[in-house]
Amino acid sequence: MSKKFFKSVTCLMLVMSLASLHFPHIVRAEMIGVQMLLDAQQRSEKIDKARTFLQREDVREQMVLLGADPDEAQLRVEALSDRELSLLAQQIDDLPAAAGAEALLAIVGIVFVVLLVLELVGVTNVFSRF
Amino acid sequence: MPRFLRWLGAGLVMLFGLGACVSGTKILPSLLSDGRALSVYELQEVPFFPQERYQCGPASMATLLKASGLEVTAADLTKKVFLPGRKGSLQVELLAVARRYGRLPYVIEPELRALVEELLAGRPVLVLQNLAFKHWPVWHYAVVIGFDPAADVLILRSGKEFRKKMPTRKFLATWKKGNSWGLVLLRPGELPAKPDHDRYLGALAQIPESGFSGLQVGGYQAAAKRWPDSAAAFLGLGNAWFAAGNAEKAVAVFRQFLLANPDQLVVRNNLAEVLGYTGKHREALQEIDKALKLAGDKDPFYPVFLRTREQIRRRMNQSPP
Repeated sequence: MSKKFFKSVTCLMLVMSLASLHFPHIVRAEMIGVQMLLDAQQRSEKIDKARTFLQREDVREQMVLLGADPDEAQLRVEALSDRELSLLAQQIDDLPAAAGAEALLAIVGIVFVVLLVLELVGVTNVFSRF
Repeated sequence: MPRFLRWLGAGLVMLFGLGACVSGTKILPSLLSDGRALSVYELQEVPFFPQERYQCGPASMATLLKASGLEVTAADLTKKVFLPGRKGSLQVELLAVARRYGRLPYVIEPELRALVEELLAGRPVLVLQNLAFKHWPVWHYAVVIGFDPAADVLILRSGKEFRKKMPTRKFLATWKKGNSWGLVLLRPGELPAKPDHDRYLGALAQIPESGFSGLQVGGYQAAAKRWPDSAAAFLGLGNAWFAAGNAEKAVAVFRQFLLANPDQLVVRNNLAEVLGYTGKHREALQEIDKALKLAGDKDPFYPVFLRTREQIRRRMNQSPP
């Protein structure tokens, strides 16, 4: 129990220290961004800067877990907007990852295997006709 | 017997219906009917990167970047957009990598008409297709480079095919299953074929705050010129200059806009902030007080204005008189 507690305290402290590293920038900038203006006009959800900061690190880690080069992953997340970042943070495993027509072959392969199994088990009689 | 006839009738109706679908009116000629030539249109100089296994993202993106005048290879792009664990590339990562190469990624209106307009403006269009079923998708990126209205086909660089011809109807079926997502790359300051204020400003607003100021300045300059009454355009332009380290230009841009639009308090807030940042505390205070006076406390930005004022006061107290 104490180990778990220690771990969560350390984690919390780390998060706070990271956040405070970034805070001078957040406090300094009372510049209103174009996205904020457009959001106010469209009444859509607002972006929380401190959360975005943590998300960036989170997405970078997920990219590395998915096989991206660690140095390159840093540059990849830096080119994402706050909105894109929060999309990835929530759905990196579910968004369309286009691979190309090879994946279509996989479907054809599965269909073929199913037909073959049905044939071997004796449910169908497609192949032996010829 | 009557039952049999009824079934036969229904079958015939369905057959004819199907026939009508297949041999329906041509799509491309009806789009281009406004007096434009109906001959084959093709961006022949668009390069080709035959796709390696699962690499349609890097290959298509390399195609677009090279067509936009940049020296790239598909291998460069693999490092930058491919996710091995997902065996593919994500749409937002294609947008992100375009920015890294100094191009503005612009997602077109989800209409075939918009796609054709971009082609006619000389830009190839990267599209997301679903080659299988809605609930069992097989995602694929390809680049549309032209069309043949007479044959009603689109011409694509796709997979390992240098010049794939796809019937428009079939293309639309695969494209719509991917929400008709199409991407073009704009050079800094370049506008799309049919500029739409919200879509263009939205694309600019997705550029991260730091590290891309050249792309921002160019884009917002074009927007401010095209939409001289747009607060978003001038706000973005001033912010971009400020992010680029040029506070003087930012002040000039904000002032110029406020001259004609004194009620745009958001712009005035940013003017005050930049003035305060550069040590012009008295002017900064004047501007933010003007904004606070005009803003009701129901204004969504009222709390921001208050914080800006507080910040100016703090800087004032810190700096020697």
